[in-house]
Amino acid sequence: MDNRLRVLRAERGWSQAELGGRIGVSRQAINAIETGKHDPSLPLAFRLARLFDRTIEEIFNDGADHA
Amino acid sequence: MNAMEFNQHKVDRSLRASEIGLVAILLLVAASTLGWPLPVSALAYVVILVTVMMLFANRKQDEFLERHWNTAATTAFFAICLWGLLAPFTIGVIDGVTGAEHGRNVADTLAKSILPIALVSFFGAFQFSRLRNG
Repeated sequence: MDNRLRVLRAERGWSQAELGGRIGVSRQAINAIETGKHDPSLPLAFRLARLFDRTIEEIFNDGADHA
Repeated sequence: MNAMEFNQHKVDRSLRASEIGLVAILLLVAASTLGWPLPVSALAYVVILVTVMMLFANRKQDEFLERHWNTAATTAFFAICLWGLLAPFTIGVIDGVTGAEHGRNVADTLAKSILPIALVSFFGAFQFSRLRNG
C-alpha cells in the first residue's frame, strides 16, 4: 500500500523514532509502514490521520479506483 | 524517560531477546548433535524459556512486534502439525527402505522431537519475518 507518511514526517522534521513516539509505536513499525512492508491497523491509521490532520485516504492509497 | 521511550525500549529489548533465543536454539542443536555436556543443553533451555516469556509478555507493546510474534507462532503450530502427521510416515519409510526394524517407538520419537521442532520453527520464522518485513 502506497503512503505519504515519509513526506508528511519530513515536512515536520521528525525522525521515525519521534513519530513513533507520538503515536505509540516503534521506529521499526514506522519504517516498515513507510517502505510499504507493513500495513498499519485501523486504529493506528486513525492515529496517524489525526496527528497529521489529514484523512486516512490522504495518507494511504490502496491503489483502488475510488471514482 | 517518558512512556513512548519506554515502549521503544521494550520493543528493542524483545527483538534482542529473539536474537538471543535463536543463538540458544543453535547452541541446543549443536549440543545434542555433538554430544556436549547436559549443562549446556540445560542452559540453552533456560535462555530459550526466558526469551520466549519476554516475547510473549511484550508482544502487544507494538503492532509490528505482534506481527512477528503471530508469524512465528503460526509457523511453529503448522510445523508441529506437519511433524505430527509426517513423522510416523517418515520413520516407517526409513525402516522399510533399510529393511530393518529399528524398534523406534513413534510416540516416543514424537514426544522427544516436538519441542525442538516448535522452537526452531518459532525463532526461525521470527527472524525471517524481521528480515522480510523490515
